[in-house]
Amino acid sequence: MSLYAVEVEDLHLRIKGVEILRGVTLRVRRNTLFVLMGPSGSGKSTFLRTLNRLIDFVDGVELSGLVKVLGQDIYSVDPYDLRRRVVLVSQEPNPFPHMTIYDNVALPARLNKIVRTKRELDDLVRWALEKVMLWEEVKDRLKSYPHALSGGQRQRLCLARALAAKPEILLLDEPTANIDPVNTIKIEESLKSLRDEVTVIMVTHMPHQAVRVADHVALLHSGVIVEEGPAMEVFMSPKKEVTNEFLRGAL
Amino acid sequence: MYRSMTSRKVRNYIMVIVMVAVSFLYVTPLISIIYTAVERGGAVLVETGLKFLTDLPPTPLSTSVGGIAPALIGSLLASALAILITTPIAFLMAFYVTEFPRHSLSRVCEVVVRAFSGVPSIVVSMFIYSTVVMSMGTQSLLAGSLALAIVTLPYTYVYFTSAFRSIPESLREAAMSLGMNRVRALIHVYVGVLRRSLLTGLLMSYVRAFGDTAPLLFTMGFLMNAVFAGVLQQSNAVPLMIFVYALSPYENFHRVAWGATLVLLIIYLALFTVSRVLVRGVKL
Repeated sequence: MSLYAVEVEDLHLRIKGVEILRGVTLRVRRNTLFVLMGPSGSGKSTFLRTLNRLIDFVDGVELSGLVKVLGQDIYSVDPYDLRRRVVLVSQEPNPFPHMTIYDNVALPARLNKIVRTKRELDDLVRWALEKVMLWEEVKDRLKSYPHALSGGQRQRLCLARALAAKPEILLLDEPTANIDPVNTIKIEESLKSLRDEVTVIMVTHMPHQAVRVADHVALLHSGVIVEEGPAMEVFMSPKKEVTNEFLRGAL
Repeated sequence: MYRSMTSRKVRNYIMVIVMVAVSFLYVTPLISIIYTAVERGGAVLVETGLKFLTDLPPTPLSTSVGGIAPALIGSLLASALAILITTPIAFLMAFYVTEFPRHSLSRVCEVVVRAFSGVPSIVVSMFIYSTVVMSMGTQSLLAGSLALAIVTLPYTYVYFTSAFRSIPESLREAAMSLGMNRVRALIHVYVGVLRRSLLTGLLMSYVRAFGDTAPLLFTMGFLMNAVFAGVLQQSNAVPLMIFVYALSPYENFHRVAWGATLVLLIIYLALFTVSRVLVRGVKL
């Protein structure tokens, strides 16, 4: 088994002729909380969607280079199987509005046949909701619909839904960008507690968030990895001026 | 400055008056039709009560009005059968075209549906007559349903396509990022999210089929002596009955036609209202 959850070598990606990623080379160790930082428009979300091939749904994509996830070239495996193992949580909370809170979390487990009995499913739903610190808030209204929840609660519900799929890698695309500080802290606490169970790759444009949660960070700027390394090392003594500027909020 | 303000106000008043007048001209015939149908048809319904819906039609010289049972049952069944035929085809086509908009098969689907929507419904009636009716040797409820299915297909397709296109991109991404393939996303997410829109599309298509006359002219037959004779036998339809009876020389047939017109109007308004209520309930 590879030591790395993700290995990317010289990844170039163009969308309709516009080069978004320009020779990205990156490795993410298993069971770490990896934060990909960068200003808006640097290609972070595109990179994230490349890892589980959600980028395939975008028109006009041209890609070159090697992307290995969990030791396998992503273009040598079934994309649906890949997405079951590498689940993405988007920036915008997107629970399924026609399903109850319980069914939202239970759906991936049902589809992927992760559990066999109703009891196991109940336990899994509870585990996922507890992991995102939502259980206490919704345990009496599991049959309610997500529109009854606040934006932050909905985002945590989406995170619980992703966890219930039992992924090996969790991709988070600025998961706290649209929610309040209290919910942001809860999500960050949840992420820290997930380290031992899943590899988390999160993108953010907020350096202070990376400081709070990351084990390992990389800075993506204009489609290029400018600097990467253990979080404390990069934050305490950045080697590149661009990193310094980003951390100061000047980028 | 003062002069230009006054001139603007005058032009505004003139335009408001013109728009009200045009709206009035547009709505007046509609109100007139509804008023006449309620006045004349209402008298028939009051006189006969529910028997108008359950009795057989009158003979030309009888004094009673009778009922429209064969036409009502024929319309309900033929429209339902047409929707049953149309729905899976329109549903799959709409899903395919929305999911693979640039695929050549999608373009073929679009062209076929556009071509179908442009064909006059009387031509559809003749086509079904020359293929189905001639080979079966009789007009039938099935032939009428097939003609209605061809006519309603573009409408159902358009409703379904716009429903599928209304799915927020964030929900598509959520489904895909959990590892669902397109069919699983359709079954577990899209149908659930769009259930009201899809149901509205079905109802509107049913309404369209229920009120159409021309596709049935050569296909349905004109059953009068029984409420229902079988799917492969002649049947009748409310619009067809109105058309035939309104042109007849008999006074009691005219009264039946007015009564049937009011029944058709009530059913249309009821289905239309239900579909509007459903649309209002759609929350994404």
